[in-house]
This record gives sequence, structure tokens and C-alpha cells, in this order.
Amino acid sequence: MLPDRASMMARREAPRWAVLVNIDTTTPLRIWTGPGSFATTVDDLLDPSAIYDGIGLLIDMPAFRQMIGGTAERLEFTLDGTWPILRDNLVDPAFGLKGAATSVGIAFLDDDYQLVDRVAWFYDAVADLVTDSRQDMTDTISISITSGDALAMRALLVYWTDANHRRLNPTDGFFRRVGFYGPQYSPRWG
Amino acid sequence: MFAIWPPQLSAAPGLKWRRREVVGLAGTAVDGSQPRGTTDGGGRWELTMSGVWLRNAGVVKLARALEVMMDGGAAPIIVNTCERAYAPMPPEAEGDGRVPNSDGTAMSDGSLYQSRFISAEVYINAALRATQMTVLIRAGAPLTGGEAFSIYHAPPRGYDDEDGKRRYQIGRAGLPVNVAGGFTQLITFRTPLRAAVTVGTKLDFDSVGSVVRLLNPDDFFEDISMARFSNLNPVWQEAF
Repeated sequence: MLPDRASMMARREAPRWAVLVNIDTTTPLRIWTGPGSFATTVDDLLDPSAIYDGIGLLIDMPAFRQMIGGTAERLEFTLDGTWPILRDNLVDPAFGLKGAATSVGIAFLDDDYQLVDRVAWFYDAVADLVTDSRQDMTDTISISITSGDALAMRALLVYWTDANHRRLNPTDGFFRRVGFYGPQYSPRWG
Repeated sequence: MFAIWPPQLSAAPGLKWRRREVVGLAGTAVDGSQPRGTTDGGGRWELTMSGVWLRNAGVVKLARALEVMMDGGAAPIIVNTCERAYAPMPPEAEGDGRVPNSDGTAMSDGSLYQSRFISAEVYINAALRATQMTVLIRAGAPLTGGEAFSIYHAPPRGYDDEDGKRRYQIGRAGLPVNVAGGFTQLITFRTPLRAAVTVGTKLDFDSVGSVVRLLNPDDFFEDISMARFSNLNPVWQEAF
């Protein structure tokens, strides 16, 4: 699975590597484990020359497993909750986090912190749940990803009322007559 | 525009730049060794200053003003430290950077134009996260390793040039090669470049510092006694 030179690096006693996470939202969320920006190579298999942000955002990474004959697992990434892109976008349906394809890759670095080979993308999953929590003075956001059929789906259309619909689509009056339909009400046709 | 930590408060008795790296230990192996690995691709700078003396009401006011402007560590600030002892100053014999008019005359009072002591720039383009580059030194001594310099990268939108300042420290320096306009050297440095640099980008050896953020806003300012005596012990971390 690993490119040749990378797998050679992985066998060394003190490997240097970085983990990259790409969540394919409308504006892709790209983060890695170090500080500053990180660019993938031009022959990257996921997205050539993409820039990954590493503003110390990633607080905790889950342990990954390769499941043999398994069906699904749920993992959680914990992020620094002050990142403005996250704050603004995670709750916005247009950002498309729910159901976004998530890829996790590993990049091996040589003694001068240069990539030895292209990033090995080894894990694919679907982004599912976002949790924002605050404890003492620490604000964190967790993104749950799942590798299969373990989605915590909530009904996508819960409220079919005009007011609710207009909060998302202010000019659309599709549900304006919903209030008139009910057990005690007989619509007048024609 | 970020605030700049003033020279009056930079004469710290204790000063330490270190590269904070995440080195993960995997525990002790069967053969007794302790394998380790890093995941942060080069780390980031951390600066510890200890015992910055405040000895009159004026500097206490200055420190108090900066304390509020740093907003508890939320606002980035530029901190420069004195690297003069380590900077590649040209030897005395080569002149001290002062030049006369083009016809060889000095000003009427005998003084000359004065330029910066060290002039260095990027000689070959280097990519984002590069840790090696070839630099052209127009004025200055050959680099030997251990020097620190700053590069002004493109600042965040809406900020000044100074606001993209980053610190780098040279680990290895190759042999000087004479070229037109000076000599070039291949240097290896840390941290990895925070942005790609192009030919001609200035390397600043005179004013070395970085955009940083205060890490210990709660306790860096010691109690003020008699309205004029106090100490600062700030710790900073490179900010993005």
C-alpha cells in the first residue's frame, strides 16, 4: 500500500511523518498534524498540489484500524474550536459537511522534512456528526467520521412549516399553505 | 498591523529561542531502546524571556499598554531579539557599509552614506516547506551555521509587510561560491519555509524575529510594587 521509499522510511527507528486529513466539503477542509501550510506533490493521488492548513488545529487523532470483514466504525477528530473557517461553516448546510467524503493520508518526511514520496492515502470514510464543546476555557470541535453504515442520520426534513422553510429559503413560498392542512380542516378545492 | 515588542523591553537578562517539536515516544522496546517519531514536520518557534526589568513608571506604562493590546494572547505581536553577536558581519577591513558620493566626495561635514551591514537575498527560488536554499550574500561574512534570519513573507490580507515576518535558524552552511555581486552559499535551516520564496527575497539578519502569540497571559506580568518595580516573564509561540 505504501509507496516503496515511504515504506522504507516507516521501518526506520525514528520515522518522521505527518498525517493529512481531507474532508471533501464545498470548500475542502484540509488539515495536517504540523504547524503552517503543507503542500502535496504534483502527482498526488487525491488532489495534486493542494495546500493543507496546520495551524495547530488538530488536537486529537483517532486510532485507525483496518477492518477485515468488518462493516463499520466511527472515529472522531478533535479540532481547535477557534478556527474561523470551522466556526462559520460547520453548521451551514451549504458547506456540505454531512456525508462529505473524508480521506486520511500519511506522508513520510526525510531528514530535512521533505516528502520522500507522494502521500499514501490509506483510509476513506464519510463525515457525519459535528460536536462543539466547551470546557473551562477550551473550545473544541469534534468531527465524527464513519467508515460505513453507522451514520447517525437525522431526518433531513423534519419541519414542513412555512416559517421553518423560509429560514433557509427566504423567497420560497412552497410551504405557505401548510398551516391550513390539518385534521380539523377541510380544504376547499376549486 | 501587529504591535511590535519594543526594544526597551527586549533587553531581557534571559532569552531562549527553541524549536518546539512534537517527538512521540513509543515506549521502551524489547531491546531497551526508545523508538521515537515526529509528526509535526519541523515544529514551531517558542521564545522564553525571563526577568525583563521594569524600573520606572514609564516602562511600566509601556508594558501595561502592550498587555492590553495583546488581548490575553489572542492578538499576534512581532518580537525581535538581538542577534548582533551571531550575525555575519563583514570584517572591518572591508569597510563598515559606508559609501561616499559617486565622485568620491563625502558630505560637507565629512560623513558618508550609511547602508545596512549585511545584505543577503534568495538566489534560487525555494518552495513552501523547503529546508535548504541557496542565498546570495552581497555584503557580509560567510555563514558558518548558527545564524538566525528573518524573511518577510506575504502578510495576511490587510496587514503590513512586517506582519508576515518569520524566523529561521541556519544549521549547515556550504562553501561560499563567488558570483557577480557577492557570493552564494547553500544553507540548511529550520523551521521549514512558511511560504515559497522567489529570487531576490531579502533575508534580514539585522532585525530577527517572528510573529508570535503570548502563551502565558495570566502570569507573565509580576506584581507591581511601589508603582514602578516589576518584572515580565513572557513566553511566546510562533503564531499563524
